[in-house]
Amino acid sequence: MTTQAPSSRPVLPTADSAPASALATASEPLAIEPSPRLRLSTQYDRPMPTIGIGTCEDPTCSPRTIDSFLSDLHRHLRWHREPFGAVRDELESHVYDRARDLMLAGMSESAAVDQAIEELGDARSLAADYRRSRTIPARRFLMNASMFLLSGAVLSLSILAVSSHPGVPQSCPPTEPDSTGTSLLLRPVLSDDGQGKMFLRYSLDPAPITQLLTTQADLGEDRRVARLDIEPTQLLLSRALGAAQPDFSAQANEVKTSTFSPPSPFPADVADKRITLSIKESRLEDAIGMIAAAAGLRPIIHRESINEIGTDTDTTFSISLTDQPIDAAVRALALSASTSPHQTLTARSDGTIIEFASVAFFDQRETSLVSYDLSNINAVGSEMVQQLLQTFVEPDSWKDNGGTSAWLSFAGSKMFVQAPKRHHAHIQWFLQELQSN
Amino acid sequence: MPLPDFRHDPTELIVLAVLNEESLYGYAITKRVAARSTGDIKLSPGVLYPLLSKMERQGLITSSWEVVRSDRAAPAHDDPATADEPSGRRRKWYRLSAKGRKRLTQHAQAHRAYATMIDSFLVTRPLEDRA
Repeated sequence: MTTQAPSSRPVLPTADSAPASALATASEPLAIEPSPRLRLSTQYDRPMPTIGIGTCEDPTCSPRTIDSFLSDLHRHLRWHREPFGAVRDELESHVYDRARDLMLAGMSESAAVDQAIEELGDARSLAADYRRSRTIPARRFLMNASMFLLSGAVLSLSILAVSSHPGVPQSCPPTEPDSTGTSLLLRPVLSDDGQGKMFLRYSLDPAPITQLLTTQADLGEDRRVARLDIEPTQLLLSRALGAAQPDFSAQANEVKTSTFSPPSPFPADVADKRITLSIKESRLEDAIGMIAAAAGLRPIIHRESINEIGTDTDTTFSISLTDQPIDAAVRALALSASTSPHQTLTARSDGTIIEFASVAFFDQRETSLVSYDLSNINAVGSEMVQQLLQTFVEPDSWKDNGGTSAWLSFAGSKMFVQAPKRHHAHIQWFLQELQSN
Repeated sequence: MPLPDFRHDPTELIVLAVLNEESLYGYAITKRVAARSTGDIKLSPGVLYPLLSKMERQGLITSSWEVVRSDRAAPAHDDPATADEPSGRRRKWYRLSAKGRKRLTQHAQAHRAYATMIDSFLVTRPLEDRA
């Protein structure tokens, strides 16, 4: 296997900022280094140090290895839903690098490995630190919960007030939030353009993914409060399975809404294909092959880009779909393989092949410069347009927000945007909504 | 300019700052920090890796994997004892995200404001005058 460097190759420590040993560790082949069989066979030739849980002070007890430390760590982490492989590989690599530096300083291999493992500290404490890094601080949780409850209370009171309004039909359904907590919007925020419409942003955040929906509520002359019933679990399932998103316009007797639906990444003939498949405990590459075979397409996998999002290639997937569009299979696989909401994989097809890669890979390939004619929405103003777009359309990607993949500039009644293809679909929806205003 | 939270751990600011210069992997971060501080600041693995995990989940940094071929992992597969060895270990590189750059800017400004405020107490009477 050859060395696979990230697409933008990382720069190694420079001579003025890192000790000589650092440079040697990172870039140069050396005669001195730990055995490549280190993690499987390292033994200790002296009484055991304190490693992992508890202390082995008895020289007769069995020696500990990196594997045993990592095994202890895994046991204390108690991660059932997240792959441990990434943590394991990173700590192994750390021990290897550290041991090599210590050997360069004159230590024997066994002593160097011994010290490198000892510096990792106690497995129980390290596991606790990892767990703590993945939990929401109690203060923030209480604040979020309080804000949610407060929002619910305010919304309930507003809905009751609207219900008693003489203009509201008596046939309106009950508007109080149901006790199961399965309805109502989350975090209604952001801008009012002053012309009777308010953009609402919904962040549904059940781990491990974040779903972000943007819709538009027409507040009307009397500024009635919008009521949008959303069942987060159903919504996630429907998106994962490719079913239609909840139709917010069904609440038309209360509020007019328009929801942005991202276009399918596949041409119509591929998007319309229905597939049935059952993937059980298959590795990523095999799962992709099965999805492609079920759709009658030839698979192409851009492995480097998938490696970059940190997907553990040893993780296995189980997906069962019956008569679903191929997009549903891709979404289900992406949900399982993603390491974070921002680092996920997706697919493209031209009708004969299906390519799998990271979203960033396709973003880079599909970036284009587009001009938009704003003459029909002059009243809104370019500043408001810019604010809306950079708030709702992939906010972190814009240069003005510190991003690196989307640029926006105005010239007269024209707006020029250089951004990935998926941005443009979202921008067009916003401009159409503003025009219909 | 709001003052920083005095309970805030400066480790995150330090890691953001070194990653702002270039992409690094975990062990290289510890060495970079030690070199910059002439050994005064030592990031232990128990502090660094959970912090990197947290920062990645917050979207402040992104990561990518590099497969590093061992110099001594030459094709020794004729040896049954090494036949099952992996051909390379994985090294995780971190780089700052756009969100991380914004966080760094905010923290740096807050830190400078805090340092300036403290300096204002010190300049009124030079330390050496106390003797």
